[in-house]
Amino acid sequence: MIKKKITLVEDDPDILSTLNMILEEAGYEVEPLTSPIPIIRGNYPVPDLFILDKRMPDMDGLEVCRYLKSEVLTKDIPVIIISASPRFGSHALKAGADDFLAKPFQMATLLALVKQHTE
Amino acid sequence: MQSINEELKASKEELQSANEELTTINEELQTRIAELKESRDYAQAIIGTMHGPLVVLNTQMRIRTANKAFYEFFKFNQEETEGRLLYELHDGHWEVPSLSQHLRDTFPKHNAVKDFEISHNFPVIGHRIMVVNAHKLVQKDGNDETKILLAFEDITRYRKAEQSLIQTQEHLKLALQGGSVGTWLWNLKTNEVMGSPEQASIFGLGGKPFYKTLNEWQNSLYPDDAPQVRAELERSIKEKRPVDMEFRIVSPDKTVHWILSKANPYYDDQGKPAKMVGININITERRRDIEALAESEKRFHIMSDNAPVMIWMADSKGDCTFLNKTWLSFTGKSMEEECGTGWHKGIHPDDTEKFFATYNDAFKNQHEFKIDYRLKRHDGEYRWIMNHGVPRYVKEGSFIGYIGTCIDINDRMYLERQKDDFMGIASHELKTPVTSIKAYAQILQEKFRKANDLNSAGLLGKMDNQIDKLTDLINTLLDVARVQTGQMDFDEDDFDINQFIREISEEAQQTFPATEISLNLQATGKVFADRSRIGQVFNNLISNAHKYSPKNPKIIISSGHCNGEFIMSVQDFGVGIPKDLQEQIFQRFFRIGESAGNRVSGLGLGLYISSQIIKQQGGRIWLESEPGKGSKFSFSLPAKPGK
Repeated sequence: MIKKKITLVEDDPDILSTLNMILEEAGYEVEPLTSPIPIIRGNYPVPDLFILDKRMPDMDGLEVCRYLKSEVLTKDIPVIIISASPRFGSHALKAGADDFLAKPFQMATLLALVKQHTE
Repeated sequence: MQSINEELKASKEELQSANEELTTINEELQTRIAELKESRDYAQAIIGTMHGPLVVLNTQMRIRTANKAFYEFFKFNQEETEGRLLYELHDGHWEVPSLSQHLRDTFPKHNAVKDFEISHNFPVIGHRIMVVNAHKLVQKDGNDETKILLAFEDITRYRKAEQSLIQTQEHLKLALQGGSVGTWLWNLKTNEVMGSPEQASIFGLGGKPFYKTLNEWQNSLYPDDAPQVRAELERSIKEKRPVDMEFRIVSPDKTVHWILSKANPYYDDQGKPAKMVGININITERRRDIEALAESEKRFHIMSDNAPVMIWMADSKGDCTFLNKTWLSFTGKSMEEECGTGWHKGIHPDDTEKFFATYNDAFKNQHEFKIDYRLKRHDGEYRWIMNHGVPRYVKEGSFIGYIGTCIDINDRMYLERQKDDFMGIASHELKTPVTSIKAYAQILQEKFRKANDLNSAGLLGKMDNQIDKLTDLINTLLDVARVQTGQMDFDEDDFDINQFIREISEEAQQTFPATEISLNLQATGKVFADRSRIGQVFNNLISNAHKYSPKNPKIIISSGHCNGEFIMSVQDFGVGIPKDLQEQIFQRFFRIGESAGNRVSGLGLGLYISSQIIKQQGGRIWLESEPGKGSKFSFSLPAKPGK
């Protein structure tokens, strides 16, 4: 069975590694990035799902999402946005994201969402 | 014979002379008669041309004749009067009892009536005051009848003028006495000063007429004021203009009195000063009031100028009338620049509209106001100030304007903002490690579960729950920071309110399985609001209801309409809230204290945030509660049309 590919962008290395570990353990192939710059440059393997942090130093997660949804290559790939602020759910959906998860979250919830958007 | 002849001759001569004498007498008589006739005609002519009304009566008081003036004055025709009794004239309206009596009783004794005054309401001509004079006329003409000449003089106007003069004099006297006004005359030729009793009493000399020599009068002046008074009087006489001055005098009992003096100089035919006439008013009390007022005002100015706060005063129209030194040194402007509407220029353009909305509304309704706005300091920097104004009234209760104080709250505002910024950043930064911790806890929990160490897995589950509580607290702090910085955002949408309440209630039932949650949904339709924020309010009210009803876990959630608004309520049957605390319950950090014996955790921010959310959504939030019976929190939302 081919593993589903997930591009995970999160500026906090601890969270990035933890999420990476959980997702890999759940059987996904993860491309962990601490900055969204490689995505904008197109310098990454195209995944089955994007998980983007909202607040990042280089670029806002919502902006990255809008960019992805405007590119022919990526517009159909689901995007989940995670944020420390529960208020950004509606903003995320308006930016074209397929789902939103407020930090901190239950791992089970994350895995359920990932599963939902990759099948 | 000769002797007889002589005797005859003598007789003849005698006869002749007698005859001559008779002729002379006859001639004389003729002349007298002519004279008499002439005199009677003359008298009648005089009577006829007399200006005053005259009437000739016989002794029975029947009218024989009257002059033209009589007919004209009393508006009679000759036919109406001649031969009639005087009293019968004008259908008896001429019956003047006092006159009748006088003519009947007094006249026969003296054959005259002198200056008898009657006041009578005459027909046609109205009320008149008349002087009546009567004389007996004995005419030795054909019928040889005694007649009475009655002369009338109308003194109505004179009497009235006299009366009004008396009244005016009385009024003046009263005014002079009542107002302690003394009148005086200074004879500039003899240098005598005479005055009214009031003048004397002003000078402390009792109620006797006032008389002094100029020297005596000048000696009663207060020494400090004397030279000025003298100079002013001299100037007035020299320049021919009125005197109007206030000065002090010393009474014989050594008390000092303030006097207001007004006078005019008068000159004789040669243009030399003759006299000066004037009035004096005792204004000691008024001066005392003015001095007390001036003292109090001076004290106010000293106090206000040294106050650390800025103080302003405005009239009833809102125009500024006073600013203390503190204000002027803050703005760097002069009183003249700032008074009236000059102070408007210092208000920050972005705050002007808000400021005047509050200011004008306060003046219109005369209520106290408090407003924060930015005011330009002397160095050009806009500083946040808090202006607090209260309406002022005079004794009788009429509104005369405002007095207000301002304090510079810029530093305080800056610190608060910094604190709010800090709270926002701190809360956000807290989330990151919490997210990590939560993830680790769950990973470990999963690992222990797989290793069948359920005890350790259970402990990690409890740890996870605590992390959720921590997350709630952080979210609350974040919301407070948003409210404080005005950054609370709203995503409004139409949604079915009852459907929404059902979802909320299901979630709450899962969170609080032991609590009986029932619904009473009367509202229909959709509200236009931020769904998640309204959900937050519901969750807060439900969790409070749960928290404060440990013994009777029952909650009723209801919805309805009132005056075009949606009304939602969450009711519990718990401990309730005392009346005196109900006002403060929506304030920040307010918590029902431990004194009530309810040790309940929380930051005391939930209701504050909820009330802010509802307020910003255009609704109201309120509470009905009774200690021991429970509380019912309600909020309204406007029924705005959806987009």
